[in-house]
Amino acid sequence: MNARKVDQSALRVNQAFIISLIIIAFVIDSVWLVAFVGGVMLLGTAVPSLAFFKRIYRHGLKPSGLVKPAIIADNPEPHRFAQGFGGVVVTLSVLAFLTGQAFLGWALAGLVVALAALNLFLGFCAGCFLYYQFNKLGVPGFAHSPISR
Amino acid sequence: MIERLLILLALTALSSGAYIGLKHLHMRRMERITAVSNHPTLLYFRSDNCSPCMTQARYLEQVAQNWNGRLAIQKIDADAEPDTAQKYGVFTLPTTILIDTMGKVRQINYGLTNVQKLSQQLNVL
Repeated sequence: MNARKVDQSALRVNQAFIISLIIIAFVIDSVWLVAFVGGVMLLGTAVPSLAFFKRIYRHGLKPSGLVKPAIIADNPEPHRFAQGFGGVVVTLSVLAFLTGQAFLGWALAGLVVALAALNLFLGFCAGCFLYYQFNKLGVPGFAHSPISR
Repeated sequence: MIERLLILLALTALSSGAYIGLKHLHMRRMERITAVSNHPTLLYFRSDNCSPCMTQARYLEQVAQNWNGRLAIQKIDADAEPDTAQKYGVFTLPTTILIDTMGKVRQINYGLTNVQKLSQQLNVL
């Protein structure tokens, strides 16, 4: 039996935090909150054990029973790539803010919210889709094919 | 801040409306391409390139057991039958489509759908 597994609940909690915090950042006009979210996403991509929102799930929401685990057979790498890609776009958004291009900054942040919402509510991971396309093309570093029977 | 809240509300209303509208159109379009049957039918669109599809298949096995022959499940490989997938407007995998005995599409689920949700949807058919 394939041992590669992903807890979908951890992914959903991560997406919910990203969406909520960027929306709050927009409402209160806080570039620093956007930067915080971007930092969490990039750090979580580089060192998965330090993914802050997933740690809240693992050490808070899951043990308290507020969120039940939903473990399925899947590769973690595409999801990590998707998060990293999102983190880069959020970073670009922050750079846009710092160079005085607020509209572009919020548009890029909004794109991350839209893609995270697509994943959270419709189950379509755009980053994972890209990863598997790169895998099909044989791009180095995208080594894992989709898990199938 | 109030302006931003209003923009947010407007965008949320627009997105929700677009999603509901598109899903409704999707279901209306399929009313013309399904047939009458003795049992409810569940169309399951999958592919070998879709990781959650393995889990969806297990969920469907459980649903089939619970329904004990009273449900027809058709598995469609979206890679092998792209025309069929396109005919049903499938854009993400897995997708499950529930059709009642009169051939009317009653539910479309985009993405992985668990046993509990499928059972609830089937119970109202």
